Amino acid sequence: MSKSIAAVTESIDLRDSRPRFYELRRLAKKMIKDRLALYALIFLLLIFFSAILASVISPHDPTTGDLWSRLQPPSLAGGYSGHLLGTDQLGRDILSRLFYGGRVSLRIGFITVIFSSFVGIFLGLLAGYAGGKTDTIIMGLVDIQFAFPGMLVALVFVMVLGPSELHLIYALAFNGWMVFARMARSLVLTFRDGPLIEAAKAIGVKPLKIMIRHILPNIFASLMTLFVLEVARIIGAEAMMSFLGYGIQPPLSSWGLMIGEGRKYFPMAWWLIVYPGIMIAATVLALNIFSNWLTTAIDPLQKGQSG
Amino acid sequence: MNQFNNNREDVTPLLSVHELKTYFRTEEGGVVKAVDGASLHIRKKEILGVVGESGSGKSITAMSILRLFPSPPGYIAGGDILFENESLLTKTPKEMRKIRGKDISMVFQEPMSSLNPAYTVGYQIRENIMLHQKVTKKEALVHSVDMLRLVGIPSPEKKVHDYPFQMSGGMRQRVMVAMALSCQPKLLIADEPTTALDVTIQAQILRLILDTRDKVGSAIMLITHDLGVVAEVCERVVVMYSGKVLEVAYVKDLFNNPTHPYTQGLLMAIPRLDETRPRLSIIPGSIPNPANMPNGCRFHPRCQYTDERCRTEHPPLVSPKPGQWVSCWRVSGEKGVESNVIAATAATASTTKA
Amino acid sequence: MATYILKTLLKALVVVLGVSLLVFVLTRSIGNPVNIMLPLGASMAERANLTHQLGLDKSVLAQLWDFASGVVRGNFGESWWQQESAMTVALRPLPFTLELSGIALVISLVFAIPLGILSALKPRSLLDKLTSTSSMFGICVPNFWLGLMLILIFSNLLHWFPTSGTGGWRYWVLPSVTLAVLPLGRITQIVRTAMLEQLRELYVVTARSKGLPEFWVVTRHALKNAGIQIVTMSGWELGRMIAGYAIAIESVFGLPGIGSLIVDAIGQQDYPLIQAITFVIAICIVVLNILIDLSYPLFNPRIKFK
Repeated sequence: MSKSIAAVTESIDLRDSRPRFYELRRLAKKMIKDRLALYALIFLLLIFFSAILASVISPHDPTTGDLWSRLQPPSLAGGYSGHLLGTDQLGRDILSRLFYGGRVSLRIGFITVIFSSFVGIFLGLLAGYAGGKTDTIIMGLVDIQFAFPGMLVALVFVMVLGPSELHLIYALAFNGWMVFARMARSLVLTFRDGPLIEAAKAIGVKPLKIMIRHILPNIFASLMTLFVLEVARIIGAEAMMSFLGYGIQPPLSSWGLMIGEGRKYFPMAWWLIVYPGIMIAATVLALNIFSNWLTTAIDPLQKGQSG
Repeated sequence: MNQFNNNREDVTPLLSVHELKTYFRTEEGGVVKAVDGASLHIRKKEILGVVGESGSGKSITAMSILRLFPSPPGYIAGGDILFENESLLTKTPKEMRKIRGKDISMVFQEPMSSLNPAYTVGYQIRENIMLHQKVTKKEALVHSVDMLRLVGIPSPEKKVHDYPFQMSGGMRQRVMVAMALSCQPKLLIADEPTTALDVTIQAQILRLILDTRDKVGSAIMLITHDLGVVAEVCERVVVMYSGKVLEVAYVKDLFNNPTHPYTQGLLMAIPRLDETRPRLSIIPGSIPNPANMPNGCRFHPRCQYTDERCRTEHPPLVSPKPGQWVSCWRVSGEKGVESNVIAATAATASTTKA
Repeated sequence: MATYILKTLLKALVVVLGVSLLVFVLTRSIGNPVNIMLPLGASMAERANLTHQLGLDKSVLAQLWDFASGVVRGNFGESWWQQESAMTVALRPLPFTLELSGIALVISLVFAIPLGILSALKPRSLLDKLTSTSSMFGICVPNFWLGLMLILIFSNLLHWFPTSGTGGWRYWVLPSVTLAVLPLGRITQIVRTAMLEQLRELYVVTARSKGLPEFWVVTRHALKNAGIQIVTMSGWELGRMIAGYAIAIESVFGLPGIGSLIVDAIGQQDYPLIQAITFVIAICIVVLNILIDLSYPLFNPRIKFK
């Protein structure tokens, strides 16, 4: 009896009864409704593409400066016409440095969070599935590391290992895996013994297949939201470390570093600091808005509503 | 079984609700008519049952009396509520607060979550007492212990310092009753007080409610969807459907001789030991969407006696017999009588019960 | 209750040990401090001398033992940069940072709690939207940049407050406000979320049905239950201020706190001092967490009985 039921349920893939890309279309419709999230996404895409295409769209080379035109204000405020946002203390074009700096900041943000999320999710899944001692040990580790002074540890990391981009990534990723571990574990626990699986087992469907087909998308969505938030946080953290001088080193530029370097010339040459800061704030803001929207968009409770 | 108090010197009911309309604005701009012209009354020391399915508007009616429904989306769109001859709808929030907990109290459905988990049981009862009476903390505490004893909680002096999570559902509900009675209210509204409890506990709580009426002298409005509860405890019954009152009758009359087709259907649906039926009898269809009510009589889509008038006009409450009210064209026929519950009560009050 | 306290303390102990161990491992793992401290032309004898002096010629385990026994006594050796006991140097600026963070937290709470409550009482109102927006901004703006912007506006343009340094109350305004912005945003959000959650609970309706004034219902009943989340977040933010945000703010405003000190210590590569500072800050965070955990029974009576 169960065999034939299983056969029937396997052959009817209820997901296929919906039109193609149903989820994506639904999300797209919802996004158009929530204008703010749409703008945030557009902004993020702009930043993303300007980072990738930095070498193409930058009007100047960000590393070579013309000392004759150092510390020029933005062109609309009386500076040279070739430098829309002005030049820094070495005559380098601010706008170009912003593009390249964006590239660096985004790169570090993503790579760091990819590291920490992989480690965290793996450990979280492990803790959730294995349970028992493994679970206790891993979660104990999570609790302990949560209480670490993260920024401090990162600074010491970088100091000891030397300030290179890779070391910066290690330093920032070190204290970032715990949130992923916690979330992955709780998601696994929700489904592993939950009524969903029991019901599936009761009608004879192969649990593994159901888990992959239905649980993974749900987990994926929640983890995506966390991922976006963490990228925002790391971008802010990298900015602070570079500002203090322990992050990205010259001649590379990151937004935080630009602010750090520009301090000496503040407040006269305000453009050295204002623009990079705006970029950091805007990017982090857009990421947060997008993450918030993702949370409400994927929440199963809200799926039934209009849109 | 029910002890009727035959000495009704006062003719005016303790509480009367007249054509109450409580609506809720939806986010999309629509209106949900949760209660749409409900009328009922309750006399001193009377136990009135209010029955209906989920969505019939019985809970909202109760909440409307004390104005406890969430007020930005909800509002009272019409009708009146008279308590001791004063309109509750014209009272200021401050005046309402004086009435709540003191003259009219409420007991809710979920004992597990209707008490604040962060305070002791004694504190919560004491809070009510000290709010409405000028007593010291000590006196209030003593009174709380007395109330706990009244509702049958063992070792009340100890239990008064317990937290809700240390008590079972049944005990918590007793605490709720104790709290509601602590200032000797004239009316106790119990909104499905036993629904969330085991059947055995249910019986205890119902007994408790009956005792209450005898000891404290409150009138009780018992809201429930369980006709069995009504039969056991109530003197009179109000049947609600889709925000309107369909029938009002004395319990015996309702069960022996239901007038409204809906009530008839409800009673028919109760399985009986002394009959053999191949299938359970049901009322076809389902309750209407509150945002999209049918025209005319709310029940007409599911009624077997529907005719043209039922589809277009909603029948008013008329009284075919003293003490009985029905909202149905079959009964009121061509009369089209306008009902005035309050005036009519005066007429029926002096007649003897069936 | 006793087991709860014990568990809390045990966890705290492990954290302190963990952080100290981490710092130890880090500082010993890479590079030879001797090379950093001595000029290039130093002789072998001088190197050997210093190595011995610093105890770096012992085996790692021996060094660890020295370190551990030192930690227990609060002795981190002598700061290479300042020729004083590292612990003394580390502790000196701590009160300043604590004071600054404390003031910032108070500022945050004074605004966050009422705003959060009001937003929860009237969701989706104009106030709610404004509050959500501004708390969002507070979270996203980099605090060091905000500090610089505030200096630009209020110091350089308006001359209301001094740019940097310490002194009378005016010197405290800009730094503490800047530091308070991020916690303000976060705490407002958590207050709002927690209150929304509590206001939906049935006991709130019960409280109203007793005739309690709305103010009491909100503060005595709902807020109390939301308390745990709010206290946790506030403590969390205070810890993050001391151990992180303050570093940047002290740098921007030129303040003599422990944040400035650690930046300098790192610049000087003064290992003992770095270890001492890390330890001190870790202890602070741990004590803070203990206090938070110990406050839970006030809000959730269940814990008393476990």
